[in-house]
Amino acid sequence: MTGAGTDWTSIAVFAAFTAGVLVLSSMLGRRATDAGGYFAAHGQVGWFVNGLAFAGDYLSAASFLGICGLIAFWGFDGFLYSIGYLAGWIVALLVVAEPIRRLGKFTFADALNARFESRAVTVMAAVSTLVVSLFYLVPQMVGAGALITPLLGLPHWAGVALVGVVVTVIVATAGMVSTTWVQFIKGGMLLVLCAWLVAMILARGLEVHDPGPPRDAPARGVGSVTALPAWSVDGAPAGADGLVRTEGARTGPLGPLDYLRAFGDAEVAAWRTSARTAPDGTTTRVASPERMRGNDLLMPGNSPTFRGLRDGSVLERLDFVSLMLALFLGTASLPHILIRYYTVRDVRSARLSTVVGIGAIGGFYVLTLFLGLGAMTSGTLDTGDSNLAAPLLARSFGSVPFALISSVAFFTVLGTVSGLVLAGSGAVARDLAGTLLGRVPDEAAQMRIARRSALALGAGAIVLGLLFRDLNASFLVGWAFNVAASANLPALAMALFWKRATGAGVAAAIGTGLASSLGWVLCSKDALTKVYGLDGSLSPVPFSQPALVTIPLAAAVGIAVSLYAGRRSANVIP
Amino acid sequence: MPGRARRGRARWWLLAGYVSAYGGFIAVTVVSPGTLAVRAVAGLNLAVAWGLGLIALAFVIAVAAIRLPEDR
Repeated sequence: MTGAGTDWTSIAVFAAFTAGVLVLSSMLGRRATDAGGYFAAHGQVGWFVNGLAFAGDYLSAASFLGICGLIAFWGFDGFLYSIGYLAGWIVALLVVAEPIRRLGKFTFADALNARFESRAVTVMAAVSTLVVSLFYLVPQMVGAGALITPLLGLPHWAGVALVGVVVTVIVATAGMVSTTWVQFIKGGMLLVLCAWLVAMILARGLEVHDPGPPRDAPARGVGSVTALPAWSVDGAPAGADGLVRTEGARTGPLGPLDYLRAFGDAEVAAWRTSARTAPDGTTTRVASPERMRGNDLLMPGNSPTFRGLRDGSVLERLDFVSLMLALFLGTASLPHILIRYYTVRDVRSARLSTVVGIGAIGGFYVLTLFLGLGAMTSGTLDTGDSNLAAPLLARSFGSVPFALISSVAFFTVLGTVSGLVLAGSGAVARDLAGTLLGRVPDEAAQMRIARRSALALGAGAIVLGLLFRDLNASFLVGWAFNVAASANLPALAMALFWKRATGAGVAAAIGTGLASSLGWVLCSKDALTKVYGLDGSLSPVPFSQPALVTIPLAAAVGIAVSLYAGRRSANVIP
Repeated sequence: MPGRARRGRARWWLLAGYVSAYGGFIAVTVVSPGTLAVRAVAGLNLAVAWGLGLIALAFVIAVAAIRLPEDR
């Protein structure tokens, strides 16, 4: 795949996508004449458009490329992320959607600070928005870099730079109006194209292929079914175990449930990479097929991240619980998702758009299961880069599906990065600048600052995307959810639902959640081994995902400070 | 209005229902992961059936929530 000759179909489709986005941004940019238009699209976006734009914002590179890749290599473990990501929308719908729409105007801090008018809350909320957005930006840029090589034959840095430049143009010229429409189109296209790809996977069915011997890693063009259940193959001889091992035996078209059933009953070659040391001491990486029953792959605990679920310690199980808690509470704490509630007319529209978002995102996550399993069994995997599983699967259906899926994947990165840059630039222009200047800047100044901030954030995203190119996208997004849930959710719950909350308490909750989760993540075993290349046993924290500890800690500190501040103000003699 | 307050509490019941289903899945995964291998519904194992069920339940709850009154 990588290093193949120039694919002009892909280049043409990709160029058309990018040009279309830029033209759309330029046209819609004329509507963003004031701060209300730039930051919140004048609150006039229809609920259906906003609902699909939610999907566009949320279905990032981690969701599309990362989850499909995880399922393609580890089976059900990747689907655990799908389950957790979607569950978070229930909290968003039932707990935060309406109060956020009612209290806020442009940024996350607006809603949080509606009762308190506290500079400390404004600054802490802005800092939290920037930190969470940066954490979320890195995997998007890494995904863009991974895509550009097979798509256009360009080096990794070119993909990162291209996304950074196009996004900066989108956000700096047109703000929320343009970003919303980019998200809407991207969300719709992602759903339609993935549904088309799944239809082709089901129509092709499953086919028996011998995986062959181990080979040097990274191995390309691997992954297959090695035996099919007799019930799914007509007329082929089955062994004593009820499996058909005849090379080329195939099921033909299958319905969705039959596909999952046949996969569960089949024997599958899952590819694993390991180090092998030769007698002369040289070490090489080798990719080997491991024959597994499909039903085992459709169980949690196959990947290195979740292996502790089957035979690990209590701490490894708590690590899993902590991640699932972060995914559940993190969605309703993501600033770039929350500000989308300001773009609709009223509370009812906020609710309706969330329902559309849940339908679109849930439907997409069901598709990821079939995309991942399809990639695992289609002989298209690249053991060197799991993020390419979905685009390489599309290539097995021809150059047009590959060009479309790769372009929409790139578009996916564009859309999510646009939302993140917009949230970050809004926090700088409205919250930090106002606090630093001692007054709220006028609207023209706010837009000027926001545009410059977008340029700076775009440049920062490019640098980070290049620095962290070797890190796993879903892994990083999991951390972003931990930080967001720890820093923002306790503060949000206090501000929206607890009458005795004070500005000092809310600011303390954000600060505690942000500092503790960030510190935990950066000192975790995963960070030590995967980021710094150090011995993981040196980690001072017992497991890698902090939410289980840092969310209650932030809430406890916020409550204690609120009670203390409330008592002090009650004791003041007027 | 008491009736309105009762309906308003419905959102918290919906949340509790989903938390139970989601928490139950996590609890079984942590405590007894082998249970998830059991073929449960339409030939699917419990892991896949529960996972798809959680996605479907989220959509059902979302549709039900449209009919709830606004908070204030």
